[in-house]
Amino acid sequence: MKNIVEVENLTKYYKKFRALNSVSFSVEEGEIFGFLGPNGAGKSTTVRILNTLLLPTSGRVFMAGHDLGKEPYEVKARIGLVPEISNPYLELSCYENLLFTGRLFGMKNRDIRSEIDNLLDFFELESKRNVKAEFLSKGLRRRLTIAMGLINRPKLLFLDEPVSGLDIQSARLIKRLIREANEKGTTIFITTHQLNVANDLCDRIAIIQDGEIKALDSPDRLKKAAKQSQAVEIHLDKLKDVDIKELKSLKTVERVDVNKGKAKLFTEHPEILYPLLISWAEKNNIRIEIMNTLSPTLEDVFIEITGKGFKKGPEGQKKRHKKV
Amino acid sequence: MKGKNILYWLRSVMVIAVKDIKVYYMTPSMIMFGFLIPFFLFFSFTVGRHLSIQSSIVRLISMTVFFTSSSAGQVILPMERRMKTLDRILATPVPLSALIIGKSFVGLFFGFTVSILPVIFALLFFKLTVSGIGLLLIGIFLSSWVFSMMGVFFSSFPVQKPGSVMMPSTLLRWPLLFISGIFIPLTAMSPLLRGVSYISPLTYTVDILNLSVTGSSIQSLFINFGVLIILNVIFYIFAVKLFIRGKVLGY
Repeated sequence: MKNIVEVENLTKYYKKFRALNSVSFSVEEGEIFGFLGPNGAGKSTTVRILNTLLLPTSGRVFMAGHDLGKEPYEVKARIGLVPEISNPYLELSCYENLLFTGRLFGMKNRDIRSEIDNLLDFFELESKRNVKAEFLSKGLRRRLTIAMGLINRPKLLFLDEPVSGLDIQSARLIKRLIREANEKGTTIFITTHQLNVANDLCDRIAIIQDGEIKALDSPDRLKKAAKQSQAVEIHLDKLKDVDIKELKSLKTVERVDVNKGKAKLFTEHPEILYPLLISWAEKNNIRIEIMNTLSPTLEDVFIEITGKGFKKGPEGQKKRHKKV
Repeated sequence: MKGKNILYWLRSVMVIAVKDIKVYYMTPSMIMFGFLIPFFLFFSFTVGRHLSIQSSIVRLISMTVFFTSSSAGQVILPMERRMKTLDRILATPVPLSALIIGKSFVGLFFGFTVSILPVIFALLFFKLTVSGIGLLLIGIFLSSWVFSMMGVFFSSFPVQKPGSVMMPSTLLRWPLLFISGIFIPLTAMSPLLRGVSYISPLTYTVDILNLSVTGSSIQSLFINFGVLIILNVIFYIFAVKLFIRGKVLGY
């Protein structure tokens, strides 16, 4: 597939501090690309360079077929920008905010009006057309901000924390709208700290740490490549009486953690362990109340790569319930 | 390419200026620094001093063009930087020159309007007579633009709070107010102070306004206009350089 973004050896120094160290990656046309990294990793610096807001120290960026260094205006005309904060002008109506943004791109008034109608309809803001942004709820302001980013029909939309601070309904709606905008042909470049958002939306994810790209792949492949093995979690009716050594001795079990009535057995092969566990329980007259398979999540991958986690252990793992 | 298209450039200037006028004219900072302060200063230094209407109007307009015009950029740009709305504009194909000129037009319109209203009022109700109304309008227009550009220049330093610009710029603007011939005529100043007064752009504004209202001036009109135009260009160039420096250093 054709690349819409190609970053080659991008380096950025802030005086003597090196924020980016020869970063290279590409974004394919039509994909939803996630760009993750802890604070201070170089994420914002990279995105600000791609947004034409910051000049790199060295390296080249090609976007939508144009060299950012040589043809910045050609690049600017083809990108949309949605910052982390929802920042329409509060004193202007939804229509006026979109009109202003469209005019900045040099669009003809007729085209802007037609695009405004489409966007207000698409983002379900038609009833708020003439309402000032100050009277919109947080979710509606977010929708308007994203609509402003799409007014010029960009080939590439940069979205910073698209659903941060929104209630569940608004977040789900915005994620649906992002997917639909992507299906209509807009490549989406998302930066977020919310790993579930990246997991839900992104086709591929890059993780940056200390100014270098540490990983770049699909969420599923990143999770499969994680060093942390899978685990089987069991809830037993008499866990206290169980000899943990017996559990450890079961085939394929690498380690056993016991916590609050639950035993977590780490294994590379849960499918082999299931029948062994059931036989073991029957033999010892123990009832297994719940058996879950735990697989690494994107958060586990993130922690493994960056070494900076929010929380470690089973809380961060996704459960696939399997009642016995 | 759109960035080089003159019509697109002109349209961008107007779109930015009109938007800022709609969004920011009635903000408390603009009212305080752009409207109330010059009028308070005027009344503080004028009332009870038995000045002629001509002298009073020159004094008032000098302060409004100076404070009102320069306040706009200093209020708007840091606010836009903080709210990231400036990022949205900078990420569009709008040339930097159009952005800076557009922002300077906001202060120009604000300063011109606030300055011209007292003139109309004085003409109608205080029997003000002026030597050259055309010169007065051109003088107010050019001065408003210069001081507006000065405000844009100050706020091109990458700060995110209006106060961070207002404080140092006020420290600079207040002394200029007292050495520019508004309260003490240049002719009454010592040679040393008079020499210092020529570094203040306001001195040239006051001289144009004096000529247009009272009919007397110290320097030639050519020098007054020339200095103001050159200062406008200098403030513009420095504002552009600061924006580009911001793109290198980040903010």
